[in-house]
Amino acid sequence: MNGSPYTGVIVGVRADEEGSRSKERVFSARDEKSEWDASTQPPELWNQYKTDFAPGTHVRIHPLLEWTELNIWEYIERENIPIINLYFDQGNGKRYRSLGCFPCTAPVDSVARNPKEIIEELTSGKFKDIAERSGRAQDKDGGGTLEALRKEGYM
Amino acid sequence: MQRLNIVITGHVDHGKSTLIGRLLADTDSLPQGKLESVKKMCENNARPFEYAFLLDALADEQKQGITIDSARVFFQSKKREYIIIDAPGHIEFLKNMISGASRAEAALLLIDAKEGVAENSKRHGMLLSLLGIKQVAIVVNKMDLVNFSEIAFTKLKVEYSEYLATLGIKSDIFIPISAREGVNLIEHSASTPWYKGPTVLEILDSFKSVEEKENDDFRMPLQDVYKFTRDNDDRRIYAGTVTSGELNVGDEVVFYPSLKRSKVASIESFNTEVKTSVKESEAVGFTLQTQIYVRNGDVVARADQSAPKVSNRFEANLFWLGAKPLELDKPYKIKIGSAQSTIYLEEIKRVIDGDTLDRADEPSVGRHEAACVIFRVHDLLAMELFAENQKLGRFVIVDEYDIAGGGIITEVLEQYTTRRTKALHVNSVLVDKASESTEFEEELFALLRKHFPHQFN
Repeated sequence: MNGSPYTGVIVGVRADEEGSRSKERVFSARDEKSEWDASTQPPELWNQYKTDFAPGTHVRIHPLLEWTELNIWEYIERENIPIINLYFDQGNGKRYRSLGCFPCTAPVDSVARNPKEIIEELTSGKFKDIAERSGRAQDKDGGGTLEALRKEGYM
Repeated sequence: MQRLNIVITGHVDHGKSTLIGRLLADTDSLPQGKLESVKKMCENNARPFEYAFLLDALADEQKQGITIDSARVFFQSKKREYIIIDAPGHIEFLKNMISGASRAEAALLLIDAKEGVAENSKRHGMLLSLLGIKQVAIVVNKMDLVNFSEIAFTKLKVEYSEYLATLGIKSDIFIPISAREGVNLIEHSASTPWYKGPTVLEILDSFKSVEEKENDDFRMPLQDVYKFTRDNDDRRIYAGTVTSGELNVGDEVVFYPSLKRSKVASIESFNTEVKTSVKESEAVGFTLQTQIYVRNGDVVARADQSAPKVSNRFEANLFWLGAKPLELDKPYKIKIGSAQSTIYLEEIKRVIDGDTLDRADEPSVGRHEAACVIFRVHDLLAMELFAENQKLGRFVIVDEYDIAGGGIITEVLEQYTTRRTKALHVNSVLVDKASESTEFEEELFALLRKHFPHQFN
């Protein structure tokens, strides 16, 4: 993002996805060096967010931070939002629950073919106690990886 | 299934992790085989099993991306699902505790029966009250270490109740428990035959979620006025999120502090069926029968219901988290509802700290301290007493670029003005005139639109 004309970016990360994301704020500032320090972030209270920024700050805005995976699917279902079909059974009993780049994303075993069946899987079915990003390699390796990536500018 | 956000707070080592671990285990909310595997691990390492290890084990899993979330833990009762927002007991984590706890609808405050009331027991009690979490149960843990003595329990209850009373909190819910032994968590225990009150799970199930609360009078902080010009669309849509109550087409509304008024012509929302009514927590817009000019941040109320207060001075309980202390007469920014203004600290009545409680004659409010203070605002603001309306009775203070403190309004004070009487009089005459002569306003608007069309695109 450095050198781009944008001073902010709106990102769909959620606190329930992964440890380092759960430490995020809705308005998350990066300084000139793109540094993010989870431990020194100012608080966000109630629905009052940090909306004042020093010149040169790059802001990540996470409006969906408090949503859960289930909320997302319920919203997609309710509003009839078109999505890429990789999230549905590919005809071989596998679908993607979370999508990243090619080498580090693995599909899960699932025959869900639409948002309704995915909601069923998440609420009472097979994925009730299994995390969404369990097929994502960068979340592993002792847990520090995605936090380290976030500091480097990964979303 | 219904959900409730709860926060569990308490001093370090007073047994928070054990309580959470035990609640997860006893409500059957753990991932399959987790309890057995942790017990077995302890056995293999010749280490006595503790319920707190369950949380560590979950945290390890979370680090590896297997379970859901490291900041929140879920468990279920028959009635609903609970999200436990983690609230670190250590002082360095106070900011995180507050950010998390500000989203909680109810709280358990844990006190160690043997060690008694500690610094953070007091600090957290105070913060919960400042955050406006009214549903609080005090859980007296480690009763096994005091032989389940009713006398020890009552003594602690009296001591902590007195402290809570100084904060204006009335909590008569005290539960004697032993998290380690599972006493009074889910079911009543034979260890405390003298205790007839609810168990921890019973009290949690009795708490109300925000959606269950009854409607109050209508309030909507004005976020923006949307104007459309394409295809002769001349709607002005007054948009915001309803913080309480209900609004219907035809209702007369009043904007504060400007006192402008009109009637609701239509309710607008995107991609839904036509609405004639909106209620709490909906994000909506409405149009008015007459076009009026109001500022973002004004509070909209119904003319047939109570009015918010309008002033530029108020007394508040405040907690400060800023790196620099809060100082007298220095400009800060207040954000309340959707309004912003410059604010000055006029007086520090007393500083409340976790230990000694009250210190008078302080020159500033330091980091992690709470205080009772008087603020002076540059502009007139619509505001409410926190006790009457939580969402419009709380505010944050911004120092330079960061939110550095938050507080609740305990008293709205008389307006200050350098030429108080005269200015007030002129003001109210003008406001009356303006609100009466909507005709004048409409003509003015038509003129402005004619001569400055680019301002209205």
